[in-house]
Amino acid sequence: MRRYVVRKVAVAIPLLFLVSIAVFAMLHTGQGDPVELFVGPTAPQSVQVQARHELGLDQPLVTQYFLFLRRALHGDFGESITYREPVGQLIRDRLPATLLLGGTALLLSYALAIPLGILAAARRNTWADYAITGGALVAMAVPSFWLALLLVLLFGVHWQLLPVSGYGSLSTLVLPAVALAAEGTGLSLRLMRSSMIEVLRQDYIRTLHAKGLNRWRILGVHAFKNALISTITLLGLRLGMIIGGAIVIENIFGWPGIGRLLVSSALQADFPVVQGLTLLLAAAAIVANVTADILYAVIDPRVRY
Amino acid sequence: MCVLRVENLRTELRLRQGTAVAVSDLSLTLQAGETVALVGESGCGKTTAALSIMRLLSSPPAYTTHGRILLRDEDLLTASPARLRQLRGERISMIFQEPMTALDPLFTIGTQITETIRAHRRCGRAEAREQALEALERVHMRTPRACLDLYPHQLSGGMRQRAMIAMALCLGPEVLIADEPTTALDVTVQAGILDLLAELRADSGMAMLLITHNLAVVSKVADRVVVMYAAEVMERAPTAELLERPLHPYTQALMQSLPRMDRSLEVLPAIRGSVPNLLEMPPGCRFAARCDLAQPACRQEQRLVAVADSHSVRCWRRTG
Amino acid sequence: MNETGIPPSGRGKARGGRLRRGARFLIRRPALLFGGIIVTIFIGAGLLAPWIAPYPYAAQDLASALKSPLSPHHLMGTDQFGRDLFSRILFGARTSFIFAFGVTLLSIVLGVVVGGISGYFGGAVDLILAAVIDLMWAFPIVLAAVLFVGLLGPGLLPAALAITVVNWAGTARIVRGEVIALREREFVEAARALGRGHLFIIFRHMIPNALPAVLVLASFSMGIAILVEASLSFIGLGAQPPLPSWGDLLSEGWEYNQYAPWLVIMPGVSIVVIVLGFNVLGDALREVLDPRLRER
Repeated sequence: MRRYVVRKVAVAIPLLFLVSIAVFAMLHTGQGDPVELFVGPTAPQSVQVQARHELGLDQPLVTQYFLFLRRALHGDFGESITYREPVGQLIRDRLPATLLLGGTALLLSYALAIPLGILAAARRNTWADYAITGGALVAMAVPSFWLALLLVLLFGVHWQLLPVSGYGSLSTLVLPAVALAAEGTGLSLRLMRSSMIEVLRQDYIRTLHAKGLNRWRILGVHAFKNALISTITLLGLRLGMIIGGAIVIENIFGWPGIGRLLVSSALQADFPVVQGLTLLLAAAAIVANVTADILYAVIDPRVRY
Repeated sequence: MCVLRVENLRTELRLRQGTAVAVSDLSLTLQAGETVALVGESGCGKTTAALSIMRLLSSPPAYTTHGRILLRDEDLLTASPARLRQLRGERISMIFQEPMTALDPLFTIGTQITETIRAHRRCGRAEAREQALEALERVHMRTPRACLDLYPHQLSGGMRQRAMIAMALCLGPEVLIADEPTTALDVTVQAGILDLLAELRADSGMAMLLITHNLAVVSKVADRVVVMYAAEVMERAPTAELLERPLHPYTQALMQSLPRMDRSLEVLPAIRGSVPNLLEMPPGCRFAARCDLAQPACRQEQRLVAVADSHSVRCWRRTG
Repeated sequence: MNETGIPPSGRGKARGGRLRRGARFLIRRPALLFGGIIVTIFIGAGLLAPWIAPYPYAAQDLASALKSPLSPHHLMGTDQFGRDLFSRILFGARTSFIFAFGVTLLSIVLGVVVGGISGYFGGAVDLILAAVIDLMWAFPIVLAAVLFVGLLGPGLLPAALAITVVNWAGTARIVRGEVIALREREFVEAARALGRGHLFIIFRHMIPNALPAVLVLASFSMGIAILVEASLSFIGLGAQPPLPSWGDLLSEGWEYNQYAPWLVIMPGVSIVVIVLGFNVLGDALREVLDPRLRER
């Protein structure tokens, strides 16, 4: 098991480096001259030279990269061009909001997908199954941002039940969380259903019945654990979807999280912020994948040995 | 003393294309301590019969429509699902052909045995574990204590089968149904498993219904044999009698197609033709199409007729 | 089921020619039919948009502004500038299709090649490639898109790159798995004995086995590409005006949601229907192709 974990982590590190290089390159191959962006295009030569020095842009590229890396590991991503604040601070201010939204959405998604998936598998080929599976199929085809718009139209404007922007109370969390959760719920549901069906066909289920075990134990312990494997495998993917989805959803609902910050910074070419955020989010996605892999090994002993 | 009596068992498979009778009018008895072999080629219905007895078939599409399955005095066909759960594992157990797929890969052997115990008896975890250990020792598992914490994929084929036997017998059932327990194993390992089963039976007086297509195994282990073909019983007799005087043309053909070391043959005789489609069963004797002795009268319904003491055949050419 | 001697196929032999059998095949599988029809309509609409759209994409007609659907000349109504929504949706379909197709094709080609090589040669090459594949396939596409936007500025190209970079890994996974499974088979040895080169074996023998699964994935990829393009265009990072895009239609239409909700509903429904079509098609394909692969 330990070897397995080490292997997975060892493989993730180079990828993190690759991403950091890509992120670093952003500042230097991106649009416009970073110095100009910083001090404005009309700044006198001396100011430009000084800015160039302060930003470390007069050093060779490789040195700059390592400087960047070292600072990044200390959480220092420089200063935002737009806000004139340390990027780290900006991120720290907004991260909790995103964590709240993402966490709620993920929990909501699984709370819906797993039971419904099992139900659909147990009632296979009945109307309940068709309804649930059909719903999941449609949910997979609906763009999350459009769902968000519809939710706002219905609950916010038309019926005036829930707030459509803002942050702080439970009611402001509902619409964004639902919109964010919807995207992956259909996928997880169908996966749970199909793995449950597959599991229930297996020989060992018959053995369990032959042993005289209680139906609930067979279903809830044995079948469930086996079916969970494929769902766990997708945990990394789901987390990635949440990260990606949050970027869009936060923008629509004015949710003060890092997704919103990312988009506005990208559009304003505020490179330090984009760099810092992208690195952070990419690292999160990679860590999520590794975690999912490890969880998989925890559940399925065949992988470990 | 009769522990299991099956009377006129009939199991149908209701499919979109039609209804196929997978087990037709099967009757057999099991006395305490004896082994009855249910023999036939793949597809003859023997496994379906075994699953019918254990009531493990799913409906749809399988329906056991006629007959009685008497475990001592209880009819399994009319028993409630709760009662069946109580009986399975404790009074009547089954082991399966392929131990790798018959065991849950995510749970240790120990857990799989203890959960059986705790499902039927009030038992603490430690006590159940001790009993599981004993069960593994009884099946001569090499390192029983270590085995408790191993997963199925970590064991060899023979060990897995022993684990499954331990699991099936840990509560001391009266009847064991063994569905081709050695087919998936190496020949050398097969002998070990068969010996183990014989020993366990001798120790506990348990009765065994052995499902197999391997006549060599039958000759070694079984007291009586029931030969099935295309869902019907073709012949039944004590083992020695059957091997010496097989009466039904199908049984005879089976015997002849066995490779033997004491005869040198150019060509190993095979039975010509193939098993008829269960959905389109010809009237009368089902073996007629492949039988060298077939006559027009074979198209009539054949009945199982006693020829000698406990030797019956379903063939008018033998019974007159 | 062959334990009981029951034939695996259905009723007897099919009567009539291929056409009849084909028709019966489709009718038995409504999902395949449904998905196939929708996808065909989508492709048709996309490719033929310039010719079948009643109005050009940007044609304004302020006199007919904000007309509701089913108006005399405007099937789906118009927006605040009098632009016909139906035509704009058709042109959006065009962009979506070309984009999604290109991206899917590229990622499949890449994935097949890399997956095939990685699976076949094994060793250090496989170790590295497999690791990369494992970590890339679940990477958030939108995030990758933002990264590329940071590098290249907003537009369809960074979006395309982002999707490709993630999608190829998905294909590679499948192909690699298939190749590894086949690697140990005797026919590989036989082919080597006959002097066949590695690449020949990979492409002629192994990849065709993986193609059905890849085809299924391609169908789902199309749906994903369409969704991502719409999402990115909506927040301004994707297709830039004047390039037609459903996402763009939605972001513009959103401003008038109170007066003209159809501006938000119609493009959205189009997206849902098309993506649903691809997903259903992918599902149906999987069912059709899978049993033949596994031979259970």
